[in-house]
Amino acid sequence: MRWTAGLLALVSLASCNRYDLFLTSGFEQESFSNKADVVFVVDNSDSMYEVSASLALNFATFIQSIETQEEELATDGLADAAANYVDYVQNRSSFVDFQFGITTTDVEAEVGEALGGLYKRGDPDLSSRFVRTLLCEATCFREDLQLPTDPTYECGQAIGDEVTEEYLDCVCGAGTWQGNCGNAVEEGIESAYMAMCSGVSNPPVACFEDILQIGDATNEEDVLVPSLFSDANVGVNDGLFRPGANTIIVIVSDEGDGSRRLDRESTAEVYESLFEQFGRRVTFAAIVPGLDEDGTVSCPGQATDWGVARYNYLAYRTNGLVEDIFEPPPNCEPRDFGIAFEALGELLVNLLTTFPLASVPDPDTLIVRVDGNDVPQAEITGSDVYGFDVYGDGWSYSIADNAVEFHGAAIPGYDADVQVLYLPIEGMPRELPF
Amino acid sequence: MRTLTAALVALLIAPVASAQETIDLGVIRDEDITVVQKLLYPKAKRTEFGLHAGVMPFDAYVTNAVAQLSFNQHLSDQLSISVLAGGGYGFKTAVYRKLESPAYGVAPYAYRYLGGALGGIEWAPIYAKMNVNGSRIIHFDTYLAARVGVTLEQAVISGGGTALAPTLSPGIGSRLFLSRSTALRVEFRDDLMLQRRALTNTTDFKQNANVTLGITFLSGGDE
Repeated sequence: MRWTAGLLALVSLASCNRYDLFLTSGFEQESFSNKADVVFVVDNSDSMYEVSASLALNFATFIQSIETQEEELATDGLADAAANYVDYVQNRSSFVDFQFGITTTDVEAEVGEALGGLYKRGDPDLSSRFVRTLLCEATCFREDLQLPTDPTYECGQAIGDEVTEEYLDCVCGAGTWQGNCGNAVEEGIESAYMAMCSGVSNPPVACFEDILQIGDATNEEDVLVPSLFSDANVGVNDGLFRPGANTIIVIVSDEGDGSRRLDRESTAEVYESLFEQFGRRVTFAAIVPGLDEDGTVSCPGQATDWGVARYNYLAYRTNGLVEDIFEPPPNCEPRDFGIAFEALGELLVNLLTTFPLASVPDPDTLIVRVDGNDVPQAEITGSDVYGFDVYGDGWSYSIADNAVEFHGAAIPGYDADVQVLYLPIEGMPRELPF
Repeated sequence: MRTLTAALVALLIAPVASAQETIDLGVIRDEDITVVQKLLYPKAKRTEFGLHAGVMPFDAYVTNAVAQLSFNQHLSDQLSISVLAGGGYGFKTAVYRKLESPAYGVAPYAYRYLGGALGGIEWAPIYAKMNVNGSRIIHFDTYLAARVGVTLEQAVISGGGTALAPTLSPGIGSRLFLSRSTALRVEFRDDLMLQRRALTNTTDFKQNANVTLGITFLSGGDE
C-alpha cells in the first residue's frame, strides 16, 4: 500500500501540467475581407422613373463618399509611404474594395444578368457608366412620359440637378432610353438569386430546377414553371462575385416582391436557404416602401404588404438595412436617395456582425474579445415580429449557424480585432504539433 | 636499603609510564570522526530573513519569474519553522505563442503564478564543510522542507479567471554560509496545488516546480 502511494506521488510529481485547449477563432485584421460585391436590383416598372432618376443623381456622390482619391496620395519616399499606411489604418472604410453590378426585377427578361458588365472601384468613369446603364437599360421611361428638358445641355456635361431628355439622348442615344419597361410582376429576390447563379462557375442544382407552384384558392391547379436558368447562363456574371467577398444585394423598388418560389408569404425562408448554398456572406439592403407598425404599407400604391415584408425579412435576417423609398405620409414623394446611400455606405463598412466558428463550442466557455477587451454576452430583451430573439448590446451564440453574433453597440468596427475563444465539445479539430 | 632501592626503581619507571598514557589519549582515528569538529555557523535559537529570486521553468506554456521573502525561526541546528511569501508573473512560452498563432488557433487554458504564502518546517540533518580547489573551506547545510499554504494564479486567457489554490510544497535546499550572519541559499521546491478553473468549471491538479536563489541574514552573528 505504501509502495503504491509512493509510486502515485512520484508519477504525479513527474507529470506535466494538464490544461484544456481552447480554440481561438481568429478574426484578425488581415482576415477581414474588405471586398464588397454590390448588386443593385432595380425595379424597372413604369412607376419607378422618378426613383431611378434620384438614384442616378445621387450615385456619384455616393461613390465619392466611399472611394479614397488614391491619386491624391503622394508616393515619393518612405515618409509618403508611412503617411499612406497611417491613412489606411485610420480610415479603413475608405479602402473598401467594392464593385457594382446592376440588374432589374424583371427576371424573365434579364435572368439576373448584370447589365453593362462590372463597375469596379478605381474605374475613372465608374459613376458615369453606372448611371448610363441605370437610366438607359434599367429604367422604364414610358414613351408618353414628359421629362424635363434643357436645350442648353451639351453632350459630355455632368448630369446636373435633374435628368433631362437631352441628357438621356446624349448618354443613351436619341430616343433609345424610352420604353425599356419591365414585367409587371417584380421579382427582386429571384433576380438576385439568378444573378448569383450566373456568377459562379458551379451553380447549385436549384438554379436549374423547374419550380412547382402549388395551387391555391385563386389558382386551383398546380403549375410547373420552367426554369429560366440554363447552361447558357452559367458564367454570364463572371467576376461579379469574388472569392471571399461580401455580397450585398440592394433592392430598389416601389413595390413588393413577387418572386416565383414564394406564395404570398411575408417571409422568405426558401430563398434564405437558397442563398446559403453559395457559401457566401450575403446581405440584403432593401430600399422599398415603408411598413407601419401593423405591417401594412404606409404610403398608398400598388405594393403588397407581404411582398414588402419579405424584403424586410431578408434584410433583417442578414443584418442588412431597410430604407423607405418614399417620404413619410402624407407626403409620400420619392425620397432623396442621398440618405439611403448614406445608410448603404455605413453598411459597406460595418458588414461583419456574425463570426462563424471552426468547431462546435461548449457555450459556457465562450469568451469574446474585440480589440483585446472582453465583450459581455447579450441579454435577450424580447422577440421580433418573426419570433426571433431580440438582443441587447453584446454577443450571442447561434447554434444553427455555429457562430457568434454581435448586437447593438457591441458590433465591431471594420478594422477591429475580434477574437473568440472556446472549448470545443469534440476536442481539437486538427492535430497539434506538441 | 630496601626502601631506597624501591624508590629509585620507581623514579626510573615513572617517566616511561607517563609518556605512554599521553600518546594513547591524544590520537583520534579516522573512523572515530563522525561530525564536523568545529561547527562554525550554528543556527540554533537564531532567526533568518532572506530575499530570493527564482524561476518556474518547467511548464510547457508559461514560464514564471518569482521573487520571495523568507523567514526562519531556528529551534535547533536541525529544525526550523519556515515562512515564505512571494509574488511573480508568468510569461507565455514560445510553444504557447506558436499554438495561439493563426496557424493553430489554440489557446491553452494555462495559469500563471501571481503570488503565494507558505508555512511549515525545515529539517536540516546535514551540516558539512567542503574543500574548494584545495584552498578554501565552505560550510553548508542541506535541508528538507515541508510547507503548506495558498497560491494565487491567473488564467493566461484574459477573462479566464483567477484561482486561489491550497498548496502542499515539499522542497530541498542548501545554505552556503558566507559569514556568521549571511548565507547563500538555493532551494528546489514543488508547489502542488488543487486549482479551481472557472471556464471549465473543473478542479485540476497543478504543480509549480521552481528553483530559487537568495541571500539570507541570520540574527546574532556577532556572538
